[in-house]
Amino acid sequence: MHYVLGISGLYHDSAAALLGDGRILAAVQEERLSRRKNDARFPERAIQSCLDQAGITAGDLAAVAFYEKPILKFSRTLEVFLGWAPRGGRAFARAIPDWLGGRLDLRGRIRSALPHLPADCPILFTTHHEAHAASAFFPSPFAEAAILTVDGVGEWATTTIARGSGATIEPLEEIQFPHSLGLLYSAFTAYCGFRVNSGEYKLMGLAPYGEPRWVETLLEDLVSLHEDGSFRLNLEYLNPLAEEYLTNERFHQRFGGLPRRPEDRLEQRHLDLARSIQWVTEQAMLGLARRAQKQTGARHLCLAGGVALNCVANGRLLREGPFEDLWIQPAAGDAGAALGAALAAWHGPLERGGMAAPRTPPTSDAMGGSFLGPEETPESVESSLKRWDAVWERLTPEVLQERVVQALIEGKVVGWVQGRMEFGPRALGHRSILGDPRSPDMQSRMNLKVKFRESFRPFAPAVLAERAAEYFGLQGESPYMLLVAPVADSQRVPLAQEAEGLDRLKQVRSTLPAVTHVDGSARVQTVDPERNPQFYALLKHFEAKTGCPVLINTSFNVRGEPVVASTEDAYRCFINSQIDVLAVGPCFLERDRQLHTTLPRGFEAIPD
Amino acid sequence: MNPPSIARSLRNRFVIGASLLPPVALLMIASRWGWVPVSPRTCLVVMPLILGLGMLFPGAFESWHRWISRGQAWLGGRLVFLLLVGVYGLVVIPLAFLMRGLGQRPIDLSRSGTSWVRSKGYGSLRDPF
Repeated sequence: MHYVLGISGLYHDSAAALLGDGRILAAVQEERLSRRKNDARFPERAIQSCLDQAGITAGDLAAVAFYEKPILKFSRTLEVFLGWAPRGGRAFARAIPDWLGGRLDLRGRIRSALPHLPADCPILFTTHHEAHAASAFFPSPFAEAAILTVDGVGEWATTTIARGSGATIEPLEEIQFPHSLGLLYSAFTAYCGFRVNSGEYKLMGLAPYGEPRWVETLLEDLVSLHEDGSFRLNLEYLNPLAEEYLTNERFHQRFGGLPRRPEDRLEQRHLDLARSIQWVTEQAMLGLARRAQKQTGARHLCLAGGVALNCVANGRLLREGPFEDLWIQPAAGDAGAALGAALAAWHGPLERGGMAAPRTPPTSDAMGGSFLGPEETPESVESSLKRWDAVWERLTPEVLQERVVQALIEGKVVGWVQGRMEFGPRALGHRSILGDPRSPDMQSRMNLKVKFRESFRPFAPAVLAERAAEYFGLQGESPYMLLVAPVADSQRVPLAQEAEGLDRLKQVRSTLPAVTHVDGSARVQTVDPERNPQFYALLKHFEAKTGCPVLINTSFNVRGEPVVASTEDAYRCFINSQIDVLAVGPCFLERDRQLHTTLPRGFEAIPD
Repeated sequence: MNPPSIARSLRNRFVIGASLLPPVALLMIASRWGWVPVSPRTCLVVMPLILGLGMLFPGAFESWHRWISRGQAWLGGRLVFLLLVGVYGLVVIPLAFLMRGLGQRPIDLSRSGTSWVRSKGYGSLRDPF
C-alpha cells in the first residue's frame, strides 16, 4: 500500500492526515491531543496518531506533503512589510525570528520529526489554496465541480476559483492579499471582543440578535463589492499586520468606539455590527459563487477555507446561489488542508511531482462521516476509568442506548463518547454533549452550567436524515453540520411580540426551543445510518420513545477547551461540568455516583 | 545508571554550576574599577570553587538557575527585537520609500476595479517556492 502523509500547521489549527492508496485512513487535529485549543505547533502528536491508527511507521511512507510553500509565503511576508512601511516595525521584529527559527526549512523540520522517514521519500509542498481546493473536491461526490476557496490568506491568494474534473484541479483565478474576506471577518471578530481564528463562529451566532444598521457604512467605507464577484478592502481602516486587533484608530472612530474587551458587556452596537458584517459576507459569498459558476459552467460547487465554516452563508449559497448542489469540506479550515495536501500529492500529475493516481468519485463522499480520529477499545476505556476511581457500569449497546435515552427524557445532559473521533471543528455524534431539544430552559442550562459559555450561543440539532424535512427547510442533506436552515413553519410557534437584543433569547419560537435561534434558524446535522450508525440508532431510539427525531448535539468540551479526545479527557470534563450522565464506549456513568466532585483540568485554557 | 544518563547529569550539573558565575564575574569587573574591596585575583580563584559548588549541590541552586535562564532568554529576546526594529528602520523603510519613488508598491491598495487575478498555476509540488 502507498501511504501519503499530509501536514498543516505553524499558524493555527495544526493537523495531520494519512492516505493509504488514496483512501483517507486517518486525520487528526493537534489540539485534540495536546489539549491546547487551535494549537499551531508542529503536529507531532497528530502525525503519530495517524501512523498508529494505520499500524505503520514513518518508514512506510511513500510521500509527505505540507500544505503551504514556505519560501513563497516568506517572500510575501517581506513584500507586505515593504508595502506597509513605515508601519509594521513591531510586527516585523516579531515575525522574522519565527521564520528564521524553522518555518523556512520545513524539509529539515519534517525529517527531524520523522527520523525513520526513508531518505528517498519525497517531501512535497502544495500551495495553501491548492490544499484547500483538493480537500474540497477530491473527497466530494462530484465528478466535475467548481471549487471556491476563501480564507484569511495563504501565500498571496485569499480567494480562489478552480475547476475540478476527474483527478485534476485547474486553478482559474484568484483575489490576492490584502483583499481578504477572512481578514475582514476576523477584524470584526476581534473588534467585538472575540479571539481571531476561533471566535468567528461566535460573531456569526451573535448576528441574528442585531440589525444590519452598519451595512451602508461598511459598503461605503470599508469594503467594495463588485459586479464580477470580486471585492476590495479599504486598508485605511485596517491594520493587517497587527497582532491583536486588525482595526485602527480610524476604524474605531467610524464604527462607534474602541474595540470591546472580552470581559466587557455586549452592547447593541456589537450585535448590529455582527449582523452587518455577516450580511456583507453573505453577499460577497453569493457574488463569488456566481463568478465561479460563470467561469466554470459547473452545476456543483465545492467549498473550503475558513470562510466556508460560515454555515449561515453556506445555507444562503445553497438556497439562493447558482449551483444545484454544494459540498463543503467538514474540516474547511487549515486543519483540513493537511488532508488536501495529501490528496493533491496523490492525484497530482507526475510532471509536478505528484503520484498521478486516478479518481473515482464516491457515491456519497469519501470522508467517512469525518470520523477519522483515534478510538479506544472497551478495555482501554475501563482501564482509564479505573485509574480515576470512577464508578461505572459496563452495558451492552442496546441497554446503553436505553439508559441514555431515559436520561435524556428526564431532562438530563449526556456526554456521549463513541467510536472514532471527528476531524474538523464540529462534534458529529462521537464526541458530543446531548440534550432534549424540546425543553425551553435547556439552552441556557447547557450554555451556562455545562459549557460555561456565553448564553447567546445557539445549539445545533441532530436530526434523523429521513425526517429532516418535517422539521427544517433544508434542501438535501447536511451530515457535517455546515448548513443553517430555517425551522419548518409547521414547527414554529407564533410570538405575541418580538423582544429586542439579547432578550430575544428567552422567547420560545418553535417546538424545538433549545435549537431554534432567534431568527428561527438552526444549524442542522442530518444523521444517516451509513455514515453514523451508532448515533443514528440512538436518535431512532429517542424517536421511538418520544416521537421526536431530534437531539441537541454540541461538542463535548467546556469554554476554552478543545473537544475531548480520550476517556480521560471526557471523564475530567464530565466531573468538572454539570453533565449528568457519561456514556463512553460501553461504560455508563452517573454524576451522583462518582467519588470526585472536581478534578485537575487536563487542558490549557485559551481565553476568548 | 547507564552512561548517557551520567553524561546528561554531568552536563546539567555543569550548566547549573556555570549559572552561578555571572555574579562573580560582575564582582570581578567591579573590583577592577575599585568599586568593591575585593581583589580581581580573589574573584578568579573563587570562580572554579563556585562552579564546583554548583555541580556538587545542583538541587540547592536550581531555582537560581531557572531564574537566570529566564532572564537570559528575556534579554536575548529583547536584543533580537531591538536589532530587527533597527533593521526595519534602516533597511526596510528606506527601501520601501525608494520603491514607491520608482512607482512600485508590492501590495495593491487601490479601491476600484476588479481584484480578480488570473491564476499562474500551482507550480511544482517539489518546490517550497
